Amino acid sequence: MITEFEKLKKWEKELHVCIRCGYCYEHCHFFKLSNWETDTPRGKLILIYELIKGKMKPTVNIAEKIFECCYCRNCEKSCSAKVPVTEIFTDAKEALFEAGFDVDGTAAKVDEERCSGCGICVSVCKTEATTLKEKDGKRIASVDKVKCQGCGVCISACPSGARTQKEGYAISPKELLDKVISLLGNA
Amino acid sequence: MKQVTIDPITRLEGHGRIEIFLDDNGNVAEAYWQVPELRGFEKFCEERPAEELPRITPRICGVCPTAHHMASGKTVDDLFGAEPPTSAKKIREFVYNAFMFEDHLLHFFYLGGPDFVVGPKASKAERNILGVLNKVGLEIGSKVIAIRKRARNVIEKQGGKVIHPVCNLPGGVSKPISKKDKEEFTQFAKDAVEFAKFSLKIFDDIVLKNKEYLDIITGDIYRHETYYMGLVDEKNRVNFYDGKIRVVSPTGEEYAKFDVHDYLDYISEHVEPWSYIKFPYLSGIGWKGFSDGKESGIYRVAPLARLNAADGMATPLAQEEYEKMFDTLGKPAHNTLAYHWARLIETLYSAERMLELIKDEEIFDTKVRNLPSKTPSVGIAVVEAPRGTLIHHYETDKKGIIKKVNLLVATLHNAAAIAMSIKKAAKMLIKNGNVDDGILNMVEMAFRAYDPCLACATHSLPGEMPLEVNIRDSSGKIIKVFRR
Repeated sequence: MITEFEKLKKWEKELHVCIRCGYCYEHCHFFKLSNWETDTPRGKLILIYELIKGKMKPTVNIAEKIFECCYCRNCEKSCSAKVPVTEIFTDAKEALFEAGFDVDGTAAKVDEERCSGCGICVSVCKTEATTLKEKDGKRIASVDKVKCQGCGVCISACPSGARTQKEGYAISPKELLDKVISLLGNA
Repeated sequence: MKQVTIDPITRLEGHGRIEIFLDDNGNVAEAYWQVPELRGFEKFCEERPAEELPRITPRICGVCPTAHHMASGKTVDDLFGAEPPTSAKKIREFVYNAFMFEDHLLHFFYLGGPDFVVGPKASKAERNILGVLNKVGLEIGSKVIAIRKRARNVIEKQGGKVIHPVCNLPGGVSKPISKKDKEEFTQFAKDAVEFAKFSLKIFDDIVLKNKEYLDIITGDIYRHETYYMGLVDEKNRVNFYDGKIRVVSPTGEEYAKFDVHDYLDYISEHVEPWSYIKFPYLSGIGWKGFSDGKESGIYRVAPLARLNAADGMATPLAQEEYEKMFDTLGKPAHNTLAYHWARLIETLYSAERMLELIKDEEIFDTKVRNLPSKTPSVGIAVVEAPRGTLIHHYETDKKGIIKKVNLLVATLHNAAAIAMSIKKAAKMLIKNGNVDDGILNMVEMAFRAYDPCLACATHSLPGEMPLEVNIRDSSGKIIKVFRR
C-alpha cells in the first residue's frame, strides 16, 4: 500500500509551496456545489499530502474526492504559488487506482450493452483515455479513469448513448438540460 | 476664505487628510478630518467559509492583525458554538497581551512619542523615531527595538506568524505552549514588565516633569468631555481579551454595561457626506452633531477610554500607575493627550498579565481545542484592540458560508471624537492666519493621541505617505505650499 503513495513524493516540494491561501477554491465548481473544504483543490492537496506522509490511510471517500475534478484548471490559473494542481491530482488518481480504489468520480462510463464499438469516442477523446478493446468477441470502448478528465465530449459524441457520467455534479447532459429548462421556465 | 490642507497626515496607520478653512481674518471657520480611503473588506469576505475569516480579516491591517485575528477567532467560536478549553483561552490571551505590549510601544516610541520626546514644535526632520533615538540615546533606542523584537518573536512562535498570525481555530488554538518555551516566555514577560516600568519613567521624566508639556496635556486645546467605552472583567477591571462592554458618562457614572451580542441596541452610525468613515454614537443619547458633553452621543474608545470605563487594573503595578494618573487628572480624565499616558499604563498591564498567565500551569495543558458542534448562523465577538473596542459580526448559511460581515473597528468608534478634536485644536491654535509647520503638527497631535488606524477603519490599505499642506486664497489659488 505504501509504495503507490511513495511515487507521489516527487510532489512534496509543490505541496509545501502551497500556502493554503484559498484562491483556488473561489472558482472551483465542486466547492461551490458542496461547500466542503475537501472538495476544494486546497483540501484535496492537503489530503494527498497526508497520504504521502502516511498520516491518513486511503479510503473510498478520499478516493472519490480526488477523482472528482473536471480539469477546468481555474485553480491553477488563480494559484498564487503556481502549484501544478491538476498534475498532482492525476498522479494521485493513479496511485489510488493502483492501490485498489476503483471509484467513478467524474470519469466517463461505458454501457457495454449499448456500445457498438464504432470508435467515435476514441477519436474525440483529447486525453487518449478511451481505447477500443475486445470483449467476448465484440469491440467495446474502455475508459482509463486516471487519464479521463471528465470533459464530457465523448458523452455528446456517442451515437448509441452508451457514454454516461455520474450524476450529482451538475455537469451531466441531463442535469444541464434540466437547468436550461428551469432557466427558460423562469424567463 | 483660505483653505489649509494637510494631506496625508502622518505617523498614523492608514491615509487621512485634514482640511482647515480660514475666514477673512485668518481664524478657523471650519476644520474637517477626512478619510479618503474606500472600504470594501466586508464585501469580499462574503461567500467564503467562515473558518477562513480568522486568516482573511487580519489582512485589513499589517500593524494590528493580531487584534483582528483574535476578534475573528472568538467570532467563529461563537458562530460554531465551540467554547475553547481554558488553556486555549489563556494561550490566546498571552499572545494577545504580547501583541498589545509591542503595539503600544510602537505608538509611544515611533508614532505619537516624537511629539513629546522631541517636542511638538521641533524641526520636522527631528520629529520621528530617529529624533527620539537622538534624544533618549542609542542605548535606550536599541532596548526599545530589542524588546519589541522579542515580543514579536513570542507572537511568531505561538501564533505561527507575527504579521497576520494563524493560530486561532474555531473552538481553540492550533497548538499548546511547549514546556521548552516556558523559560523563554517567562523571561520575556519579566523583562517586559521592567521595560514597561522604564517607559513610564521616561514619560514621567520627559513629559510629566516638564511643566510646559503638562500644561499642554491638561490644557483646554486637547480636552473633550465625552462618554467612554471599554471592555471590563467581572470586577469592572480592564481586560483586553474578554468581558462585557461598559460605557461611562462624562461625569464617570456607569451608563451601560452589555454583552457584545446586544451591541446593535447601543450603537448607531451617523454618515457625513465629506468622509468615507462612519461616525458611531450611543443610540440611547442620539447624534447631536460634533459636540461633547452629556447630551451628545459621541463616545471614545482606546487606552484612556478603557481606563475611564473601568474601576481599575487587574494587576498590581498597573493599578498603582492607574491611581497615580487619575490622582493627577481626575476621573474620568477628559484630556486627549492623556491617551499617551494611559497607553503606557496598559503596556505595563499587558506585561504583568503575560507574566501571570505564563506562571499559570493550566496554560501548558495540551487540550487546546473543542470541536465545533453547532450549525452556524450568527457569530458576534469583541476584543479590545490597541486602538479601541473591536467587534466582529458574521452571519452564515447553515453550511458556514459567509453571507454578511460587519466589522466595527476601533478607530471607527473614535472617528467623531477625532473630528471634534481636530476642529477644536485648529480653532484654538490657528489665529490671524498664522500657520506654520509647528502649529500644524500640534493640530495633528489631536488625532495622533488616538493612534488611529484608518486602514482598519475603512478596511483598505494605505498608499504612499508624502505630506503636502496647501494654503489657498479665496479664489482657490495656492499661495503657499509646505512639503514634508
